[in-house]
Amino acid sequence: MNTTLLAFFIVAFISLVAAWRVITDPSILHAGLWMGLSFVGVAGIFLLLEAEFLAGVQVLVYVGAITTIILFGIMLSDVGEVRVGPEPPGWVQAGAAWHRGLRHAFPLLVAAGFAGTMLGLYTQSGWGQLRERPLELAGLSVGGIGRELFSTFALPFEIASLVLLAALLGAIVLAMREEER
Amino acid sequence: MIPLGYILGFSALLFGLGLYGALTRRNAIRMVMSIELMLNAVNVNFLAFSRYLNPGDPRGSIWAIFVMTVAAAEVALGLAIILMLSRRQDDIDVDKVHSLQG
Repeated sequence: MNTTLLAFFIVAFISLVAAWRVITDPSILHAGLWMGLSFVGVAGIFLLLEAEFLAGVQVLVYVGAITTIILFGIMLSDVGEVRVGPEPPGWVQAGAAWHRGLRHAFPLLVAAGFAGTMLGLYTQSGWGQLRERPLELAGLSVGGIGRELFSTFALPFEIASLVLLAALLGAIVLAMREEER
Repeated sequence: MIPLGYILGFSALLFGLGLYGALTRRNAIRMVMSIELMLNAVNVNFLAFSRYLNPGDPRGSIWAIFVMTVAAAEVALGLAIILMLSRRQDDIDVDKVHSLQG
């Protein structure tokens, strides 16, 4: 087994375990930190795919901005975790467990079914064994991304900036206190 | 050299985890986090296909950048809505949100 493959397995394992902890960790603040770790793992995958610029952007935007803003959201909303009511009697608990099982079975089926279908498709398509070709010199450079972004993708780029502006205004208006409006 | 299938498998698993989390968790913030995980899996797919099928082409990276832009906008709006909810009804259980019901 060569080093690249070993690095891939380590990074992918860390990222998937962190993603699992995001869903299951009882403390929501810890879940936010696990999410940051998962993003770092994905940045490692980007590095292995030789997309260094995207790995940097991933760390800056996801780990730096989105994780921080979610942690701030958790602290500001001051609710923490969905509240658990007083302990109900035994037969109610059994019913609730059954209900909870049903509640989780269908999403599990959907998620596992989706992942399984995609894996099956990938296996059938023959992409699975495809090896990467070496990048030509001056292949994927930041300059190339920038030139393409400001020529072919100039209009989507401007629209993306409008989306960000609208989201900024919307977030400010939504988060304003009622009496300030 | 990593076979393309491994990377696609990783991203399918990551997306599945995010989907499961987004469907089962009742806490609004945890749902936002799960959606971010799903968007990340999509980005991995974009970059993997771009690297293996079309090496040197910057378009895969550009799509990933657009996905990140939309993710940033989404998380800002989502958290603003969650903040408002937590002020209004002191609870962010998505099952108990009914202000928009007729």
